[in-house]
Amino acid sequence: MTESLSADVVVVGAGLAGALIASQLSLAGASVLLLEAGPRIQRWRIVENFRNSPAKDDYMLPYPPSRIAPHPEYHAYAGVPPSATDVMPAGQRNRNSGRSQYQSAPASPGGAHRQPNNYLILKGADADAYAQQYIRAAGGTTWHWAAATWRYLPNDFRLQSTYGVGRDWPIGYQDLEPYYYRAEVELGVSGPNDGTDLGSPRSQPYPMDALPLSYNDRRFAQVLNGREFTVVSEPVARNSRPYDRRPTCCGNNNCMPICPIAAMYNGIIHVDKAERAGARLLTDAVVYRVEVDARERVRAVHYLDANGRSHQVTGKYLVLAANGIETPKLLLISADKRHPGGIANSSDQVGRNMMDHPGTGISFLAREPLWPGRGPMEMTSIINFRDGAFRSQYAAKKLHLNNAQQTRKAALKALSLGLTGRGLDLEIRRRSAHLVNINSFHDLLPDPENRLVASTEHKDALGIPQPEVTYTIGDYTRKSARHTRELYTTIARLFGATEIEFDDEFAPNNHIMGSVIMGSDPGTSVVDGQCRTHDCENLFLATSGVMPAAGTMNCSLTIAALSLRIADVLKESR
Amino acid sequence: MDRRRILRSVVWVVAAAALRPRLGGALPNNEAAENTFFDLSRLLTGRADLDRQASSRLLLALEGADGAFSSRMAALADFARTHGFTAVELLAVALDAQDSQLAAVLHRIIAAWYTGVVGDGPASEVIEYRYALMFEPVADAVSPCSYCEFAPLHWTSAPSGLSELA
Repeated sequence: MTESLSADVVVVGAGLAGALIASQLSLAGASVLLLEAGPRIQRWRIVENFRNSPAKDDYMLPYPPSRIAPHPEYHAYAGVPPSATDVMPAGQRNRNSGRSQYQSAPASPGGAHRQPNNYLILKGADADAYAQQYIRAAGGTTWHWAAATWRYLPNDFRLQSTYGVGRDWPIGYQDLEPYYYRAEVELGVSGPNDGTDLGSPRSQPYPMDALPLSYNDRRFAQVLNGREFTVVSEPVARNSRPYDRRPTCCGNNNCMPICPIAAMYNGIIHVDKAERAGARLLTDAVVYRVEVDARERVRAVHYLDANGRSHQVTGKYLVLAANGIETPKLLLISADKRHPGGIANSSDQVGRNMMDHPGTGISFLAREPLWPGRGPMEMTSIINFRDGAFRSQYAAKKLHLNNAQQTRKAALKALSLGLTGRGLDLEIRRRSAHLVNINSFHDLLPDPENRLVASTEHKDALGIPQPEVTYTIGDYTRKSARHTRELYTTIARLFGATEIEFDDEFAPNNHIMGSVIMGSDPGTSVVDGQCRTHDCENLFLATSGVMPAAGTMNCSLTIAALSLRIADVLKESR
Repeated sequence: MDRRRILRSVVWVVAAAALRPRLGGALPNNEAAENTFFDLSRLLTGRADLDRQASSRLLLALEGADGAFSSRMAALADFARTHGFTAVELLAVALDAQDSQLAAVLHRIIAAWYTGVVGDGPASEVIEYRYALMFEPVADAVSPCSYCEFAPLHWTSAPSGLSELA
């Protein structure tokens, strides 16, 4: 039996992008239906799941996957050694990555054992480096993030014309600047209002001043600044004063996997705002088909509910905001007789050019005690390798200091050494105070061969094909990573480091870009500069998947800015 | 309250009492083992003020994770008592040299108290988070993640004592 629903604007995906658009359009008086494949989840429950999780570094464990809309599960950090005397590998990957230290899966909160679910199928030379994490639930993946809200650099928008590599965006920094500011106001961004130049010209100061740096971050800046490094306070969607009816950050050091007090922005904030403004949210509604009529306009979307029943939804406009993996997958599996390659795919670029920010890292014990773990989990970045003539030869990057608490890692290491008594306590304290961990984001060029397809072999519980990505990291990025290693070595020397551990294997950073690429030429791109698909006039894509250049920065603020721009276009179109 | 409701209440109280040992960990027939484990834990952690309830829960979890745990734990306690060990460091050195099986039990008990986690890989379980002993030697500088116990903006100051043991 089929039930039919209708709205002015139908939005698929209730994460940061979809919720922002739904909230803007509802406030403007449009009827909005927001379809979310995952469930509603409660903040308190996620916090409790974290506290009961035996693998605290696995940021996905507190988010049980929905039966009907799974998200990738790798259980990378089953951080409990098989026995107390097993050695914990040094140089822990403290990045939000999907790779495994201990191949066994930990018990989930609640007791049921959760195993890797092989939902995102990975192939290619660097398959492991694309083990992306994302959350399918109302609120989306910003439930856990570093809250870094950087603007891209003007040159990130014109990489091809400036440096002869990659692609240009069809829009420039100046087109997005007003939207960047509006996004900062919507999310509540605190940043350095002290004249620090972050390379992206501003028309207005940050809505909030930056939080004062932790002792760890302050020492990091003091030691490195004035040498060959520029360390700055990172702009973040984290309250430095009461803002938008949410409290000031109190330093729970738990931004990932969950801010217990909503001092850090999560997409659920705008889901709530959208609902208060009149938008209707349907959770557990898994969209599996976009239907296009003979005039090449989207006529309807079809979703399955938890019982596997199909429903049809019609609207004047459709916004797909289901992240950089689920969005292209949905377009591809919507193929019909007239669109054998999928919807909005006359260019054959849907699912191609998959990008991310491949990361490498270093861990060491500094000579001086720095005490990471006081304050938010990330506060500073090294930004002087983000742009320059070298970009014609190798990738730009950002490096950032990890300010996550190290007590647990220190304890596991000290226990693995067989220490007892006062010696054990002293070693836990020494390692907790001295451990330094630095990670990086490298730029990556769009390559059509880095490709997502709908699996022909694997289907989820509802019978929907799973996403499959083939991924290889090219020399442009590898050359830069070798330079990054030299920088790490210099930093380690400046801190009088011992027990240096390089983490050279590229890690994923969950910045999924390129998969529905933006461009001015309909023959080589999927959406135009307004995120409208070239093929369907009433279909917009609100996702980092549209981004044609990866740059070096967390892409959430750019997603938010592009989404607000889509909302403006739709407001004018009504 | 009518008789039926009173009767129902009595049934619930009895049922709750029957369940309590499983939840609270105080099985009457396990009392001797509990006392042995508690005393042994005080020796192995170098702490006199361990929590009784946490001790019971850790014991249950350790027994659940390893069927041979109870007998080995008793053997370890016996070894320590027989040889008059009063410091864990000396006991560990002796066992590392003489009895790798008992040494493993010793380290497993210490790891359980320090991390609050018992079990291997897929079967691992959090028994204690806030009061896991690993947080004690750093308590003046960092607070267990999720609910900070320091004052707002505490992080701007240099931690007291920096690297010395509190």
